[in-house]
Amino acid sequence: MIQVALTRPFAWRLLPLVLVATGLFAVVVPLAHHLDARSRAVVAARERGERVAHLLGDAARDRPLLWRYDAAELAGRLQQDALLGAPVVVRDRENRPVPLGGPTASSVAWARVPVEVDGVPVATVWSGAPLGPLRAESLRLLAGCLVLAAVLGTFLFLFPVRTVARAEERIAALLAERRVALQDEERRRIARELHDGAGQALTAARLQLLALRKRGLAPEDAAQVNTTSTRPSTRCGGRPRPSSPRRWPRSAFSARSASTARATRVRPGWTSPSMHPRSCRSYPNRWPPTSTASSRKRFTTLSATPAPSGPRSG
Amino acid sequence: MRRTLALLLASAACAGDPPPPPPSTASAVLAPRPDVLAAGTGAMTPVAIALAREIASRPGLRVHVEPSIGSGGGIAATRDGAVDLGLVSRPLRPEEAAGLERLDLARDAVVLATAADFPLDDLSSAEIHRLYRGEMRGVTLLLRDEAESANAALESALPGLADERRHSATTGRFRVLDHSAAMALALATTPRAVGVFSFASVRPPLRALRLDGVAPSGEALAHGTWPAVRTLGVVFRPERRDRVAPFLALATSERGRALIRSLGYLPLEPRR
Repeated sequence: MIQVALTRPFAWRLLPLVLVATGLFAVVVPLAHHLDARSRAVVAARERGERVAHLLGDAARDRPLLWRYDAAELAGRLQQDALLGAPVVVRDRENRPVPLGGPTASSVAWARVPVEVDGVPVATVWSGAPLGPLRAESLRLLAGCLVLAAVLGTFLFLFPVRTVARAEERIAALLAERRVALQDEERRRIARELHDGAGQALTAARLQLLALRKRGLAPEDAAQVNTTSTRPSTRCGGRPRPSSPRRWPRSAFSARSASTARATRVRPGWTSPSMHPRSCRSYPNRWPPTSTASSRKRFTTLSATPAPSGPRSG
Repeated sequence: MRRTLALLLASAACAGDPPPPPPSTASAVLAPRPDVLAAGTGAMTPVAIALAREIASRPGLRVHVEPSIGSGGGIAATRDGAVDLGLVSRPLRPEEAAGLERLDLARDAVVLATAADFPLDDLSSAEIHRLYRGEMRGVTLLLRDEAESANAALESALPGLADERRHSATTGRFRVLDHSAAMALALATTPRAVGVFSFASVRPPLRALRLDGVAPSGEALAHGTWPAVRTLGVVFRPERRDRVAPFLALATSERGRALIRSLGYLPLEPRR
């Protein structure tokens, strides 16, 4: 199996994105809710303060001197209108407190409303919105969003990573299949070249040797003639020809020539890949049959030497 | 820049306004007015009005009596100099007594008042407890606010009644009234209603119920047989003693005591 390292880098790149996205979700949603609820609480407190200020304005208009001392009357009217359910602080023009009762809270968002009688300020109302319940609600929402973000983040992380892992397995399998196919194709090509090149040359040499014997030459002369006549078997027609250098870099050529050498005990050499004849390009796997000795001399860049050793494969 | 400013404004809107500053500790006293002003508990208001009318028949000083603002309001207004005389129907707390002088003028009988349609003329202590617990059917109890001195007077005579009243007030089953005038109106207009009231202020169609067989009267008050009693008085700043001296002199005089007695109160010997 070919190892394709895709899943781990993808996971490392995806993890910060998922953490940022889920973290933003877990923080921004409760924060936005808290700010919105606080803003609405302040608006409600301001509306309540305006109603309190209206009542106090009426009282101050009726009794300009003593309105602030009639706490029972003021508190009763505010209670009757359900305006004392939240903290209310009233100060007169000299910043002296007007005791009205009502609840107190440690954490309050205030809305300040002036009390005016005929355009003259007589007091100031601070209407408060307790933040304790709001904070508790926001904390509950934060906890829920954290849990939801954890679940969503897990899915957002695992689903793509598992998909990439499956794709990685598939790519590895396809590469393995392709490698086997390429190996088979290479074996078949080498076998075909051996069959079509060296085998034919040997057969021709044998036939020539038999013919010379029939002519009555001595075995030694026949051997001399055979040596001369077998030279074509070492020509380029009998050698595996590498593919186009434009398609095959030198490293690929070396790997291929090595396999060829193992198969044929003939090691092709490579010195100048830019000197291939035009006629070679139409015969991808062998020298053209019309190549002559003179033309072979021109292309001295390719040479074949017997491989020193090595088992034949294929 | 504009966006930043908008964000800052939005943040400020979310945060609300600054909290109220610490209250002023300066004890600025308002300048006195030409007329003597008196304000405070509604139980004392009839006495103050009667004395003011008597003073008005003489040349010189004029006394103006404001509608009820409660004993606490009268004390605070006197301390601030907003009024010259504070009308009170309860003892002063230590923090209230600083810088003020008090003069007790009368005693007031606190009764349970009702209209003519109330089926009973007499209530026992047990029935009053049942009434305050909401266990007496066919009767509407009207309550006064927590600061009302009549509550304390009645509850001093009936131990345990204070807790029952507070519990009933929290249930929301009974109306809570803030002034004597509001109580009088509610008693007259609410069917079978009963509520705590000043005996001196009981006028038809209202009537006062007997308590454990004892009828409220000046004699019962004088003999000490009526259990629910509160003391009425006035408070004033020492530096304004000269301004209120004619009023105090009249209130402690025989004429003044006769006026107080005629209103249904029990006049007291002056004690400072």
